[in-house]
Amino acid sequence: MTPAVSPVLNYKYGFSKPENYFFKSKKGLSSRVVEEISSHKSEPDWMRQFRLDSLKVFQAKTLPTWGGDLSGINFDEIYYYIKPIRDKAGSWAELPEEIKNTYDRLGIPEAEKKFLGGVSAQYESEVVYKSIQNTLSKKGVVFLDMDSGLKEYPELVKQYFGTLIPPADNKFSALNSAVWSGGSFVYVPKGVKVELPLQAYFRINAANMGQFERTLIIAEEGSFVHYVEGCTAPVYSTDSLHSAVVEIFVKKGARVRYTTIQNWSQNVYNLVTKRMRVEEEGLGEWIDGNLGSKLTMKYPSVYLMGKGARGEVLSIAYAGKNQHQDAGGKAIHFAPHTTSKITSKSVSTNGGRTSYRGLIQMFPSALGSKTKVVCDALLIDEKSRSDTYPTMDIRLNDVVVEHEATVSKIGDEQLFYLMSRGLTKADSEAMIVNGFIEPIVKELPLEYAVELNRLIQLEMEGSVG
Amino acid sequence: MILYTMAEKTDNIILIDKLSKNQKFDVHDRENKIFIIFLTGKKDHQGQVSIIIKGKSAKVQILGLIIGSKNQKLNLFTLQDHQQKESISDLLIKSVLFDNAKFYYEGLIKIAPLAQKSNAYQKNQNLLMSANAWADSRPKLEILANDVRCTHGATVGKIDPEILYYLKTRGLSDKSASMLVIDGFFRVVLDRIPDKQLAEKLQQKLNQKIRMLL
Repeated sequence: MTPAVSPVLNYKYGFSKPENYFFKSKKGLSSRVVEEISSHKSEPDWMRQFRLDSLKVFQAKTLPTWGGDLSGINFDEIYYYIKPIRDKAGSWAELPEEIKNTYDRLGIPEAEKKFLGGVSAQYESEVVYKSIQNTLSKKGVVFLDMDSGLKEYPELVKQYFGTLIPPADNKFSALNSAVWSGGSFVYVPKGVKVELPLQAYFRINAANMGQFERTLIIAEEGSFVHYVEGCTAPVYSTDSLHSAVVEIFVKKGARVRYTTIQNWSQNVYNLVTKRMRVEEEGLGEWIDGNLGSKLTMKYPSVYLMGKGARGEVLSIAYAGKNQHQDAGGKAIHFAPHTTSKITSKSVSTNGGRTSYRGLIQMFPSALGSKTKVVCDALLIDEKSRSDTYPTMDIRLNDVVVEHEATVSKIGDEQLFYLMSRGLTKADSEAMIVNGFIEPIVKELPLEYAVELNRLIQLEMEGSVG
Repeated sequence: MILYTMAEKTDNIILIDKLSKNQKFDVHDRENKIFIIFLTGKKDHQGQVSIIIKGKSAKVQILGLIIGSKNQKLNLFTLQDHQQKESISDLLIKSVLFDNAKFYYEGLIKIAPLAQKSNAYQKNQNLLMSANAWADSRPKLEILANDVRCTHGATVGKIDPEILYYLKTRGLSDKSASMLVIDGFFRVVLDRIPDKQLAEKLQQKLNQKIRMLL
């Protein structure tokens, strides 16, 4: 398999590799499974207790009654922890052939060459491969998988872990807190600017396996980091569950940008809780692309805690056949002169459904704050559906709050014009859709932008009828 | 509820000055209706105004003029339910909130799969006159047809201090400057009412109330 083959083309039909595991927990969830995971990872007592407490919260909480249809999830049919190979490989060459093949098909070695940033790839539940630039560690930047983070920086992890998204936040954050494995731990010291994006690739490759990665990013005063997370997954016949928790702390004057392109296979429930806490003059940015999965429920949020803090959410959702993308963003203003902006672009085609769901909340302490929410939706055919559910809860008057949304189809005149120039209908539609999401795509690292455009081109080919 | 019918029978204007549960209005083929939600009293209000567009090529306007004050709680739900094709519905609801007034607004546009070539608009603007007033706005869309044009928007804010400052440099008092701005804020809605007599009557009522509150 040459890396030149478009990973997108392969994805369309799905591929999977034979399973080869070192350790696999029993199906279903119980305190025994949780204890097993914890002891397998030789975790400190407080983490074991944290997991067990979270399990109780999970069992006590009910599923959300709003959003997408969650009735298809059977929590007893899921493997909560799988460890694929014994040790983590230190370099690309040491990786097992099989895993390398999978990555080749995704074109990742190419990506690695282009980006000299650290690459940490999550195959199954655990990060098995990482290569960190020497320059990163020289600057004091920590970029580890979460398990190693806990081992090497126990005090730091204990101080922040689960404080921004406590287990009791929602049923799925409780589940993640009980069974998490993998994810990234990033620490950027005061004043350090990480120029190259840090990248992690996530993959699911076992039928019925849940993926519960946990990411913690701490950006100290005046620092900057861009974290990129890309997901692709092969297709399976039974439903699988992905439920991540991402906690990000943006200190005074710091800036964190978190980019996700999520492309789970179309049987995955993707239920993720993501939150940033932004302090004085800090800037937190989410760029969130949701293309795959059966159902996504994800609303990255910014908690603007310090004076002059800023938050931005850019969200793209693309729903095809049998897909429901319930995505959006939240901005909660606690401090004076804070600003937020949420931009959402969604495309529904071939019977797919996209829902924008968002929240703007401003407390009386948020004097002089501003927010703007813009949602644009494109409906490709008559079978598809688009919803907008914004909430604006404003508890003071010295603020500026704006929300606007539009829903429309591809303009006949635009299509006619492009087709009169010799383009096929599919190409014209793809071009219009790519233009529609362009404001967000241009914020992506180049190769992600290229992949996204290619993917949409491909998806559009199938939707013309 | 008072029902105004224009002499020419071209426009049906329905004035809703109190809210109740499940107020439903059906709109049929080619009908042209204007609903005015007019709440300026002292009482709390809670209720729904559902416009069910059962006919083709109908035209509906839903206008809202709302003033809240003291500890008033206003709770409004509107529905623009497009069941048939080629209809237009246009909603514009504006509120001015004083003191501790709380306005909760939820608006839903529904476009059924059959309702192709529908246009539906929804706009909610809220002017907060005191630090303790608040507005919670939830404009929602559920669109199940593709050949449609739907937009919605919502804003919450206070009077721009620069506008007030400008007016005051022209010799206006605080009160008359605010009066002027609120008058302009509501005028946009009133201008959409084809019955000029009615529009003027409503404007007088609004001004009276605002003069009392400022």
